[in-house]
Amino acid sequence: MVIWSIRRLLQAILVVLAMTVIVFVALYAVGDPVKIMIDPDATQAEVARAISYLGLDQPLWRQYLVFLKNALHGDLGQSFVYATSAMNLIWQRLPATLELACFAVLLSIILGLPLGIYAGLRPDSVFSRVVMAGSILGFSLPSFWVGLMFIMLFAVQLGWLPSGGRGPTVTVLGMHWSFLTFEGLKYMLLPAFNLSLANIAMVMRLSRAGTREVLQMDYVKFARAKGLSPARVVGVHVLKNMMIPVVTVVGLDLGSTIAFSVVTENVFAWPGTGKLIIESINVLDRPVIVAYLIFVVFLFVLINFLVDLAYVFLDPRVRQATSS
Amino acid sequence: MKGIVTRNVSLLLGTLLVGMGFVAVMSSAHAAESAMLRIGMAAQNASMDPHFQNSTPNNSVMSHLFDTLVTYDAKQNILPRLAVSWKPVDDTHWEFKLRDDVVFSDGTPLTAKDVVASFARVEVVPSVSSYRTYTRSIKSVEAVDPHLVRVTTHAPTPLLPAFVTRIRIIKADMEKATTADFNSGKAAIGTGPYVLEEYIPGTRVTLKRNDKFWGELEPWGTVELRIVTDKASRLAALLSGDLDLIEAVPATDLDSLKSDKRFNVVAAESNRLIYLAMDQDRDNSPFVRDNNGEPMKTNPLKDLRVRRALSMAINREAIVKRVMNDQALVATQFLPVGRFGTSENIEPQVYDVEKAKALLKEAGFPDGFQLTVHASNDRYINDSRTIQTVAQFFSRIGIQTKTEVQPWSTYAGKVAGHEFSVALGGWAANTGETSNPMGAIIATIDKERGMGNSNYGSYSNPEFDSILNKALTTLDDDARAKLLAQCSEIAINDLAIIPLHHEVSVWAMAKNIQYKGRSDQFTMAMDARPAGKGH
Repeated sequence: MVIWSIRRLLQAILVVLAMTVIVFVALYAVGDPVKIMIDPDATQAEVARAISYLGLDQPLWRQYLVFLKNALHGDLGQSFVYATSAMNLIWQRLPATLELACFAVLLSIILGLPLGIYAGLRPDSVFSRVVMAGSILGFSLPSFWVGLMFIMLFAVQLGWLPSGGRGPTVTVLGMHWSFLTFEGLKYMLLPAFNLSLANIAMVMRLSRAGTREVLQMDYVKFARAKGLSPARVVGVHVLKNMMIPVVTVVGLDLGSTIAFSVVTENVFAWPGTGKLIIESINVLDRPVIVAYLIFVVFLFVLINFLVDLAYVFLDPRVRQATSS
Repeated sequence: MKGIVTRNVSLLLGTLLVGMGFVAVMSSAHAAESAMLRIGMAAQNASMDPHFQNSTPNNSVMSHLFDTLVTYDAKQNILPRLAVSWKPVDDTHWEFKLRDDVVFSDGTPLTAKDVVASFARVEVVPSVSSYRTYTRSIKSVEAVDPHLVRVTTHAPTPLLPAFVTRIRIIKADMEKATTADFNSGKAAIGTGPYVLEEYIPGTRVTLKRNDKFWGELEPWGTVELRIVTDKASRLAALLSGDLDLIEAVPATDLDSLKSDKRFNVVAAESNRLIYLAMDQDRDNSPFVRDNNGEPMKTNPLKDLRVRRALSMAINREAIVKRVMNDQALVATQFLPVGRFGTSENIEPQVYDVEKAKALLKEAGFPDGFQLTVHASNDRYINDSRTIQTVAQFFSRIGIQTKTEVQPWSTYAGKVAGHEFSVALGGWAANTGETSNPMGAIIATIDKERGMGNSNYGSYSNPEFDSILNKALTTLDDDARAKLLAQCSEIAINDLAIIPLHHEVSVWAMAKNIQYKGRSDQFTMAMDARPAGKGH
């Protein structure tokens, strides 16, 4: 287990190294951040000053080595735009994204799982058919359009929920959180639901398929034959066995929801990391882009690790394989 | 006896009632006084440091907290602010007389020392888009007495008042403060109409009325500047009542907003010119080809007849009406006629396809040539649609035109590197007069002096340069205006660039708010008033 974890970590570090090289070269090829940001009226001397202040007067390989050296000291560089540490910028925005993503994933489980299991148990009922047909919409509608429709309906027409922004926050552990107050939750509901729509559909379909498959298994037939209550058959034997693919997908989803909720954050003016990364890409703010992608790589490694742990808990065969 | 008591009681009651009524009136007046204004900003400010990054969103936000020596009105005429009066003493010395009733929001009175410290800080703050652009003509700034500042310039600088409209005054003891100190609010102490309550980067800036402000107190107790970058979301927030005022209203939604009784729409011509730059330097321009797709020996764009044909081929009215949804003005020169340094002798370009074809023929291109025109797709209002329309107009006179658009992040470097043959450009005259756009986009490139920095077509005309240089050092306003008008005429007659249109900025607001739009595209609570209160 320990060796396995270390191997995972080493892999992650290799991925990070490769990724930073690609980002450095790619951004260098895309354009010059100074030309984008500088006052077009500036004199040559001022342009030169700005370039050297950003460290862009050095050849690319030396910029990269300087970056590596600083990164080893835990400093991923200063944002070109905000003149503050890139990592700080990400930490500032992270709570907003984290709580939104977790809320969205939670919604997808709370709504997707029971609906999917129900559809799996009673595939022919009218309700199941309607729900499954609806899930296709969840997949296929573009999320920015759905987001705007939500805003038009719930904020503009009905006036029940705020149209965007983050609303009041509570400071815990030096970070701002919305989910702790009712007012804050009101601001979170629409973006979280928008973000979770595709996930709900996916969880629903996976759990329906899983349930139908598991229902055919001998152990379920035996459990029934043994005279166990239907609740126990579904709640223990079916649920535990159909959960494995769902956990894998929800885990990966959590990662991509945290890392790339760019569209929803923009539509709902939600000040998270997704908005930060898209704004940084627009002005080629390299330190922020690099720091953010490093963070994302480690996030995925961590989530994969947790997903593997969940397998151990859910599937006795995996448990035995790891202990022997 | 009893009667007297009753009468007294009733008198007392009466007084009480009147008193209570008075209190009620007071409190309702107070409620109006402490009203809240929520503004939706289209772009994010980079910090709360007034000397850090020169950009429109930063300048808008900073104007709430910090004052400048002189300022612009909505049409960019210069008005007194912290300075009651100013004058050039001789060619290279200016004196600014400060108001004596100004205090910072912490109660410290403003003196000339604060002004000196502010100008000194601008010189040292590390920044990619520094305010040093506005101080480069300044040699030194001294405090003559507590309320008199003397500025020495390297050369005669008639635009000095325009330049100092961007230099915001901080407290002298904050000269060494870092950008982080301003972001935390520790150093963000100004003389402006508002004080900083809270700054959450990328989310909002919350401001409270500065009750120690030297001018008329603001009607808004609290102002929230919320950053909502998505235009549809910004509009939705206004419609749902989450915001009171929004900037940069999308043109496509204007009709429905105008017909909605709950809202007002305010438009103001901006000082931004959208134009085409043409390569007038290389003989073999990279995106000009003959009709077989082969490179050409001569560059047709260097021929005035060809440039005239191109300009004549464009139906600007159609662009303004169809592409810009009327949120633009047809441009004939660098700023709308009537602004400082424009010429009244420049006629609007007539749209004439036949004459354009004849000009092409006369220039030796009866069958036209092949051309690729370039533009950004996220920088100016409808920039990619504008260039596509222009390309269609060019095709009608026989020039086979293709378009290529790219995001500003890749376009900015390429267009500045002269990689294109015909490129769409935009220039906001942030001094409000024409020497600024002319010096930047058509003056002969001179990197040392900072001239022609955005001269995408490498245009060069010695006659134009010498008159412009003369204008730049002429202190007398009338003489300078004449010289600049002459420059405008030379540049437009020679088609140094092809002017297309001036953008119009649009704000939308709830009916109970009155707003004045501005030509510099700043959005400020100071321009918003509760409706029915005059102003």
